Amino acid sequence: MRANWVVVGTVLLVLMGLITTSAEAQNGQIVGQVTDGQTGAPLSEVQVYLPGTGLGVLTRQNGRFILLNVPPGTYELTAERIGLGSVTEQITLAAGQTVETDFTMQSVALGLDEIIVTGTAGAARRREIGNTVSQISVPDLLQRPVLVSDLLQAAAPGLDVYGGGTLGQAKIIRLRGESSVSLSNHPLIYIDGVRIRSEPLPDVNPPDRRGGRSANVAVSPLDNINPNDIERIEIIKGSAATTLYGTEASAGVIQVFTKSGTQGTPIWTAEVQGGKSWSREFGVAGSGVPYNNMEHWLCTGIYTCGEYANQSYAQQYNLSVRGGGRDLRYFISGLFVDQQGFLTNDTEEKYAIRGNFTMAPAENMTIQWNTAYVNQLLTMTNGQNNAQGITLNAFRAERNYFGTGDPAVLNELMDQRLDQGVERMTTGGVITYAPMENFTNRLTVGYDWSQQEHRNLRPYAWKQVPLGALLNNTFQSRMLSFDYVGTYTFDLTANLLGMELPIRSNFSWGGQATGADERTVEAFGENFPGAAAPTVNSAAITQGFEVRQKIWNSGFFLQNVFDVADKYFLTVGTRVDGNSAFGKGFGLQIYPKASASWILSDESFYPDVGEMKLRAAFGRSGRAPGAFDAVRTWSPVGLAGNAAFVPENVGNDNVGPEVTEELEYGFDASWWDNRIETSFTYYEQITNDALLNVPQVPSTGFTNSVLTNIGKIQNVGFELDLDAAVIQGAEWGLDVGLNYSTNDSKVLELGIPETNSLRMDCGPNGNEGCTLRNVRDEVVTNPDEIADPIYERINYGPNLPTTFISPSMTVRLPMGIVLSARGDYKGGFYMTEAVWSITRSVRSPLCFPYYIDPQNSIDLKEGVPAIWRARCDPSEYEGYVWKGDFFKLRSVSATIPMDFAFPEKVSNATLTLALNNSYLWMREMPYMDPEAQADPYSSGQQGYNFEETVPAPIVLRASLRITF
Amino acid sequence: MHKNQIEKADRRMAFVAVFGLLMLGTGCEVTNPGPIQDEFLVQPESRAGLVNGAQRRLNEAIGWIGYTGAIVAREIMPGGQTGAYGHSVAAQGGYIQPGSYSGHFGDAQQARFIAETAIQLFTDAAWQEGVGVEGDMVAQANIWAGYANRLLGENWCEAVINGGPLEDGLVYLKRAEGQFTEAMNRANDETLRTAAIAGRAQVRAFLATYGEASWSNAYSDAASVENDFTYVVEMSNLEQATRNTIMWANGRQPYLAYTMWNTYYGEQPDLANNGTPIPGTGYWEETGDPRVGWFADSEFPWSNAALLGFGQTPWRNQTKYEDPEDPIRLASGAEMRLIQAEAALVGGDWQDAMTIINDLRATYTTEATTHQAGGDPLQEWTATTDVEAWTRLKRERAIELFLEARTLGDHRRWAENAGVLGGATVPGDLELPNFEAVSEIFSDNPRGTLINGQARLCFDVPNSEREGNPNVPTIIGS
Repeated sequence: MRANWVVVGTVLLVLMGLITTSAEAQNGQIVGQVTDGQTGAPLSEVQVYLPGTGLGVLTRQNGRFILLNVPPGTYELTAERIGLGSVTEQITLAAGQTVETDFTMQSVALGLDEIIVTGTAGAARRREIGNTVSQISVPDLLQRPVLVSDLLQAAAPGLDVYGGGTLGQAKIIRLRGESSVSLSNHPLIYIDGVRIRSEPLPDVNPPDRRGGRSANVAVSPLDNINPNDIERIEIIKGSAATTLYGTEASAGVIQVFTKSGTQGTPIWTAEVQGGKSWSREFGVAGSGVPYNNMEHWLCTGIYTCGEYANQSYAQQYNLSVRGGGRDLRYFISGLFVDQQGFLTNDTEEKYAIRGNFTMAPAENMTIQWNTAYVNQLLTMTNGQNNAQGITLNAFRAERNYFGTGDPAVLNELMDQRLDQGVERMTTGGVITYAPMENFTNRLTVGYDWSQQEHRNLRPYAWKQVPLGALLNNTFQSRMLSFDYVGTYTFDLTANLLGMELPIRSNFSWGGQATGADERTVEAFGENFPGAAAPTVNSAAITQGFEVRQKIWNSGFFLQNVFDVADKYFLTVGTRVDGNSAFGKGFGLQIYPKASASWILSDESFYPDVGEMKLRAAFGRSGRAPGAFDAVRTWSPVGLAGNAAFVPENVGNDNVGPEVTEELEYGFDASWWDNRIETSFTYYEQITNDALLNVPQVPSTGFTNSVLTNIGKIQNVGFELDLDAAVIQGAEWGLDVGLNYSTNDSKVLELGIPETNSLRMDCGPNGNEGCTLRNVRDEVVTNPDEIADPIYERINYGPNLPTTFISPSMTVRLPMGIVLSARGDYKGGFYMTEAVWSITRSVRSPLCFPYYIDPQNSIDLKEGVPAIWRARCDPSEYEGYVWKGDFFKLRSVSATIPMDFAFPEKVSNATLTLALNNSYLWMREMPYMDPEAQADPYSSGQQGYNFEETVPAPIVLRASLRITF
Repeated sequence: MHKNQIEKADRRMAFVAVFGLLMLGTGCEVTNPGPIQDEFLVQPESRAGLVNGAQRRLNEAIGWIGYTGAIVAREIMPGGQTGAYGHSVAAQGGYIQPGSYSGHFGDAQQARFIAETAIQLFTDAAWQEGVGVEGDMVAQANIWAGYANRLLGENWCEAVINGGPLEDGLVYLKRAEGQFTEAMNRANDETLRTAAIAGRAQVRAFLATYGEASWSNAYSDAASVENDFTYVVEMSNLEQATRNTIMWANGRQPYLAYTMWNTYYGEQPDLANNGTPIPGTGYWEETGDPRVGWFADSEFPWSNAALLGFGQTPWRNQTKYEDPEDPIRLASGAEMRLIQAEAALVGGDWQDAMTIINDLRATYTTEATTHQAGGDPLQEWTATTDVEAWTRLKRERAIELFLEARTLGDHRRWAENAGVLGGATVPGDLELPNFEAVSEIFSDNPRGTLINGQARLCFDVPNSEREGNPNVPTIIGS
């Protein structure tokens, strides 16, 4: 496959060369500077170009630009940058002349005329949209994030990104919390209009966990995107916005837009990045085991490491070029990442390449074809809740599966090899055709292919599996999508009710079809004849497994936007879906939507203090059941080589999607000469027909639970986004920002008998009225008494954060130096502990103060308070619920212009230093980063819960980026 | 662009739109490979798979029920493991939480359900000309149904059939009796026929303890089975689920969860010396009886976890099952002899019973131990009274049926019913090992479960059945 990659890269580079050659000519030049209208500060990375000529350039750090080889003539010279209003100047250039033109650009406070694509029928201006859309302009981010999931952390209100402490491991992403008990709460992901696999690639265990559990990481499709390729990310969070995506969209939609080619001479961007990571102490403070006995496998500081610890490093190289002419523009990039995790065996190598091409075969037609390929190779340390893993055995010391905490013995666990190769190719084309000015058509065809090969070798002569075992699991995911949207715009009337209120109608229609195809082939072998590097067929016992599954979802929609005088907007629409996973008795699903917006600041009575838009939206979208939930099936299982089958799924003919309806309303406003921008949204979601796994009656033969549409779940909250330019000067500046959001979920109805254990896990009155993902546990009612603990089972509260506060600050200093910081507070939730297995008499560092001889015994002292008796006495093992509130400094960065160090041809050079996860405050947790989780996709736990793992490291990175 | 070009392009776009709508109408029908839909069950090619499916679930059920039942019956001693292959502290003590063990119940119920579904499908097929099912396949389905019902009836005090009401657990055994009879009538194969007779002898013996069948019928069934006959449920190492769970769970895989130390058969603890094993003690060391052997592993001297109130226990592993593919017996000629002996005891002829027992013992050759050179016939038991003879019978059944999911059922039927003997319990002593001397968890968690407030040596109908079946009371333990 690597050979193919080289061929593709070569072809792309040759093509690029041909294109750039055509743009070369010499005549005159245009020079100038672009400055900020508010502050007078120079603006870098502004696209300055001559439309229709293929000539353009980016401004340097000092705002200056030079446009060479411009033929004589009269032109419209345009300057554009996201977030700023575009500016055009007319110039006339004679042969050999140099024309100087300066631009002053104003920031667009609310971006009311920005084009939003996600959740709209085709595209719409922000002013038309009744729901909130979060937009992240990635080139503006100062921290140079390495992973897309990192840049999403604390980036928008209502967005929760957590977990993923291990190298390569996916983070969990939630938009406005969770609203499904049984199905995925993962948002849909689109790249440039192409639907890709949203779920991480699967965690793999040996068949029936034979030979012990594995510890491969679930790789995120988002993190396979090179962040340097991204222009912007649009996020819509609830059903009010996602209706047009229909079934599968009620967890929200994240759409990534990658960079396109720009007219003009090629603009190259190169970046070199180096980094280092180390672990913060995550053991109980003062216990003498600051890393839960993992000291021997971790560095304890940048320069100080334990006996077996390794120095972890990261390096990354990125090169891209964009340019093109009027008829063909291109953006091509390549990425190489090489890094080591801070567990000894963790490494990652990643290669990525992208080619985005924009063609204009006719005046009214454009074709955009984007293709990306990623090749990622991970090696991993076997960790997690795993009898043959290092973390569990180190944490439990002499009560582990080796009967000793001696690192020399446990180090044998490092002889396991876990390799994971991931390849992904996403390709898709968008044809936009506008036969008339008011009539546009857009057809998108996309294909997302990913493959993961996981190889897990327990070598021959390894103590735990003396004859060795090898698993090879290959998973493939294919997603084919078609999306057509047509839009026709026409005037309904120029005088509504005689009030000179023109009404335009924007009528859209379209259809989508998405096919998801997953295939798993797995081979397992055990008992090798010797120590040579084996394949599965070297083994004496071999097994093979295959799983194939396909789901099609198709739908069409109709929508109309009524535009009254460009300041009142009403949108109504509906989507109709069919899905191969629906029961035969279910039929089609209809999802309606309606939204309105009012540009209040366009009214004559509104004072001249800034802009104001009021908005409200209502909509429904769904979540589809699994491929086999509708049908009664028997599972082919076999016994000792003979065919056999047993009852599997009782089936539900009437199973359909769970439908979430949402009402949201709020406003976007700016004040103080647009120096303060605010967005506020209140939302309320109701998930009707929530799918619950209803247990079956064992005596009827079918024991697996069946998905049934019986529940009702509510999610409410608000989101506040505040940005203020406190100090605005040509050299000095201070911007502060704050995201504040809440999310409270409640189970309104369960629809199952009161005695069912599904209800028992929540509140005192059953599940109804309680939080969706809830912590219910024993509380010690006499914690400080010197007595046996007395327990009461109570409903603590949610297991997911309910309050999110993310402050940010940017300081601009003279010389163009920019400092920035971003923090993240999550609170209002509870966590349970499962790190130490107290009932197995593990010595818990938490209990050291209460043990008579903490280094050798778990015998408790006399006079231990009841709460500590509950926690430390193996026969009790209660009292391990903590408030999970924490604050983390996600990033601190400094960006320093380095233009001076490079020749004139380099238009922009910056050095960025970024420190991630450098500070952690925990309200009650006595140890461990609350975000530290074992792979959540293996355990099925997607709340905030601990397992035997290590938390995400502190990372320091330095990157140098130059543009020329 | 000319107007006609525009119209042409519009037609193309209209075509795309229509294509999309057509996909909506027709493109959502997908048949995924893998799971088998109900409609395929009626096909003749599916019959063997269905019958094997019953054995597959019986394989899983007997492994887990035998494993957990062995704890309650004190055939093995807990080492303290609470996670994989372990039990909660209370369960280690032998207590069966009312409403628990849904998985055990579900596996056994599925074994019964699959076999009875097969029987019904075969019965329906018999009405179709030319597609009738041959006798041995019908017999096999009835045999799996019978043994599944026997497993349920011996281990659960109450019965639920196909979502019906709660009934006396003996219903399972009466169902099994009919199924074994049907199998005997339909089988052409002699092994199948003998397996059916042996199964019927087992359930008749159990029912006879409760006065629900006659000992003479049990005796005559048992007498027709030769000494060397065995009938097993197959185990397979191809999957974790189908391995011999009893072997796997007791073994070094890597949990070292249970031990033979301090059982009747293993080394006895020196309680004055932290429970150190006293060399040469215990039934196996003393007799070399090959049915209850064990071994020590110097590399893994201790069970994995720590027993509450005691600490780490010496790990001694059973040798009855040495390979994950070692099958578990469902019936044997040896057990038939013991049914005959028990029938003799019930009939008051304890001397005859002892003769049968000792004849059986003489068929076994001893293993080498600290007390035995090995290679000799197993020593005889002696008894001087009928009560002693009952004690010997109880122990001999425990030895013969060691780790076969049978001993807990024996303990219950003897504890609950003298039946024809006219007493509160069957005479004789179970000779239970003194676990209580090692840890208080055994006195804190008395063996068995509570049903209507009454302690009983069986599993309770699990919550999964009680909560979903409207015909079953939802009060746990009722």
